[in-house]
Amino acid sequence: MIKEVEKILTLQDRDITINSRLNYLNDKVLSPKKLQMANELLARYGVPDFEKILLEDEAKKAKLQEGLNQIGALIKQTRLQRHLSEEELAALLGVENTVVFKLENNDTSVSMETILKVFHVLEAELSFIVTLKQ
Amino acid sequence: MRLERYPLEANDDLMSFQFVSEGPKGQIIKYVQFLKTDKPNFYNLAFGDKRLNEDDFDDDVITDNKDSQKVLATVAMAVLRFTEINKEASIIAQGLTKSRNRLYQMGISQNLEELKEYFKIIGFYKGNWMIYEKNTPYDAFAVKRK
Repeated sequence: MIKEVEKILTLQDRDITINSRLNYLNDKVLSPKKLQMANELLARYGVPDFEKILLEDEAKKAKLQEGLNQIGALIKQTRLQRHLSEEELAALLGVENTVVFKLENNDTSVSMETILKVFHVLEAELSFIVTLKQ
Repeated sequence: MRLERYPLEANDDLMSFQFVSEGPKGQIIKYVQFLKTDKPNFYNLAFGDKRLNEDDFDDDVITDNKDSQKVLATVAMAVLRFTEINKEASIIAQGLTKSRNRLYQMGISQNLEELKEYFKIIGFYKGNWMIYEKNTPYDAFAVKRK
């Protein structure tokens, strides 16, 4: 164990030195209250599953991106139905042409206010359907 | 770790570390310790000041020596080195008070991009563990090597 530790430290970091005189610290408990809190938290709420948490977060982000993709597609569809080019819509919105391209292709973070403004300019109503998860 | 930090001393198995903070309040010896919790491969992170003239610790007392960023970067390095040896270890940390939790959160946020290169980082908030994001007032934190 000591050789392995020394090898890693030698190769990667000169700011850590091994001092065997500190071994006595292992017999001391720094902050027993915090250790107790940690044990209580883990006992009450369970041990966190890092992989599961990461996967859930990725699924949530994918779902959000899917929603944004749909909004971008709707903007484009509505613009075409109004027989407008990207440039014409940009002019109506008072923005650069690239902004419209980004909106339609979800290449930018966009606020709800901006989305509503775009559909207002296109003289279209946006409605939402909410489905509760079982 | 690219942020400025103090040189660390570690015991043989990297469970305990020591470093010296330097600032307006002089030199203060600080300890970092990884303690086994009741759950396998889960370790609690604790750090605090050495008691003056005693071979003992101050329970969660951290003197403000106007070097908190450097101190937290040093603690982050200790976590990095400990988990290098204990690759399956998860480290849990929480402060005894909300202000202490904010200090830990500050340390994570300041080092976040670097930490994310090495660790999966989660926070405990309103009864749930979730991916760590800045500006959420977590009650506890946990990291595990990628």
